[in-house]
Amino acid sequence: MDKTESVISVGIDIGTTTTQLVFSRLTLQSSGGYGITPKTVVSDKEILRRSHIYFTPLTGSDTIDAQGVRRIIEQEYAAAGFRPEMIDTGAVIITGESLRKSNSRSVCEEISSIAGDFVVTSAGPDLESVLAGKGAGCMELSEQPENLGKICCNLDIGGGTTNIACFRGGETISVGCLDIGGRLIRLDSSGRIIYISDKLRKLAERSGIMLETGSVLGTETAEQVCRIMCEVLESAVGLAPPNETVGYMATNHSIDVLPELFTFSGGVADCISSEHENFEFGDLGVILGRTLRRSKFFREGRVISAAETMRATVIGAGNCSIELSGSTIEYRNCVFPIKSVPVLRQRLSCAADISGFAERARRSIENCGALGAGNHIALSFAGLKNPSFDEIEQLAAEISSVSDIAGDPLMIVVEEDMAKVLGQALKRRIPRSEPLICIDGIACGDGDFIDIGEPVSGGRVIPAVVKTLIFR
Amino acid sequence: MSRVFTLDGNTDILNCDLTNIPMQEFSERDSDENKEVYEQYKKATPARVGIGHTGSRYHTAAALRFQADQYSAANAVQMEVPERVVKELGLFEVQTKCASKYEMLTRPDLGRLFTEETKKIISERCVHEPDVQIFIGDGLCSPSVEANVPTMYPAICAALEYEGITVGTPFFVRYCRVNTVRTVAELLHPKVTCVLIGERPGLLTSQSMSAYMAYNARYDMLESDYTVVSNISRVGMPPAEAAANIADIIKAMLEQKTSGYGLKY
Repeated sequence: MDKTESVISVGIDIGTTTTQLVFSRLTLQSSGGYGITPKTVVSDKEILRRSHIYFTPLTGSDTIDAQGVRRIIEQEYAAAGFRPEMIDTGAVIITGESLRKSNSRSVCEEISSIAGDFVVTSAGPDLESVLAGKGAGCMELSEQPENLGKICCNLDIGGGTTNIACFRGGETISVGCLDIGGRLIRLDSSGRIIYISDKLRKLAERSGIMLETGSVLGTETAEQVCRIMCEVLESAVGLAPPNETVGYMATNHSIDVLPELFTFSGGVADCISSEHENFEFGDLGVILGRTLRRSKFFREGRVISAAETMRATVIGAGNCSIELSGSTIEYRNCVFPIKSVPVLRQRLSCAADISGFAERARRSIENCGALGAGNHIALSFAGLKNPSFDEIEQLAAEISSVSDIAGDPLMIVVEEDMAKVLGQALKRRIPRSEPLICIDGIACGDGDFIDIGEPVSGGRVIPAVVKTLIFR
Repeated sequence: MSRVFTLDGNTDILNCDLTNIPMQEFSERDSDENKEVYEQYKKATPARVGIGHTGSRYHTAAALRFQADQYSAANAVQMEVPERVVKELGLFEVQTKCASKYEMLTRPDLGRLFTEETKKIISERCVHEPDVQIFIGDGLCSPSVEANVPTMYPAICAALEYEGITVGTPFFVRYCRVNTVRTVAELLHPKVTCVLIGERPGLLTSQSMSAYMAYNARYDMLESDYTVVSNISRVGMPPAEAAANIADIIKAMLEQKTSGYGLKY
């Protein structure tokens, strides 16, 4: 018998240029019964409301206007008819250059606290790339039968950065981020440069184009600059020979695969297909879009139109950030949600790894304590494919011996289907009053953070968000 | 044309147990063309894809694998559970009214009944009216007992006992059918009766097990009063995790005083 329930999710994207919200309804379907291992999946995603697209309010060149952002959020919640307590899950993501503002962390945390109980904070160019790729429909594209085995690549070109994510068969295989975007140069109404990013100025200088604030930017020069940016993108995805400028323009790193299919999202993607005045938005966006249309992407690559352009990241944040645990899990005495717990990855993928687990875990917990990471951590490992009862008992004994220093509640996150039996064995070893969460079906790496939400699907499944957090 | 073996190139296919190779690693193709696509297919399903062919015929390894799987499935049905296994599990053994495997296969009705003498043995050796009575049956797949019960039974008991639930005396039933549950329940009157029984094997696995559970099982209970956890094997639901799940289901049955269709779990 299949049961469904729905949750309301919000995505909030505070980007270099724009701030947007999306409200969606996610349908969770749980199947079980005769002959089927119980499983709960997100079976449908329906977008209930897309907000207006606002310019991200800034108070100076280095600070986000927290009050301004807050007003936008409150206004949009009111317009959508949602109160924070009606929101089950979601994510606030701070993207592009906004991430580099001095108060990015505090703004993000403040917003997530007024947006809803289990609305998580996330940041980091890699995560942003993945969310944009999912929001643009690129991941689904890679799952289409006709694209099996092909690498599909989404380029989310925003104001300050281009987030690249590559998918194959529905899996993320490579991500990267370059400092290329439509608003790296901004102009006033008379066509004078009022802002130019340092990196772009130097990149242009290499080609002998001198750009200074205060000077007038002609169409021809703008086209040259856009062509240079476009060439960097072409090299990054392998349409042009490798070029050192890719490394120079990388925010963190570029991708390391050669994609075959491309989708474009982000504000600049809208300028690829539709005609605008050259400097309609006071930046390079329109010309960059036009340059892309004439680029190797369209001449030599295969470009497929994205499901979402401007709103790809925010839809990704609202619809795709949540993961569901396996349906046989164990927890007790926990108060949900539990937010931003740092993950310590442990080696445990075969029975031989069990002995010494406690010692290794203890060492890594102490090391991370020395780094000042707080006193609550989640232990994560691959797990065993077909553990015997004895192996589970041994492992539980090892884990329970470090439960005193892992913080409350004791959190275990494994990939293989073994959380319920391990959780039960742990329960027998730690005092009855002590809280515990043991979930499976969720992969996370060392240094990630995990958020755990209120159990859904009759308490059988726990929603979780695994994320990277990188603030300046 | 190069031939792609995921099978170890040195494997002598005529002189090894092909059924030991997980189906997801069993692949034999003529070239590397569309390698990633095949890898995705293989990962997504344990079905026989990417096994190669010559003209309209399977390759030798694939053809042998078919036969090997077919026979191990047939064997699993025909085989007896060795006495050694029953002993190692620390169980005592009884037999249904079936005199042989053949009779069990042809007379399911006898596979659920005991002689008066056997009834007496069960009645004398077992604790009466426990919260839960668990017993093991060979069913249609004998190897599943040795493959899964050593992991499942202690895990179920440990979880139940921690919750303060009493578990009755376990035993092994030879030539056992699912509905033996009704007969055992009428003898010992547990609140919940649970049989761990080998399930009909297929080409994928000849070691899988089911747990059939019922609250207040009786001769006149309905089939829909059973709650079933099936497909327990190393290629299905891992036995340890299944055991933990079964323990929780039993706990829910005791709380809700029902099972099968009426159970909310």
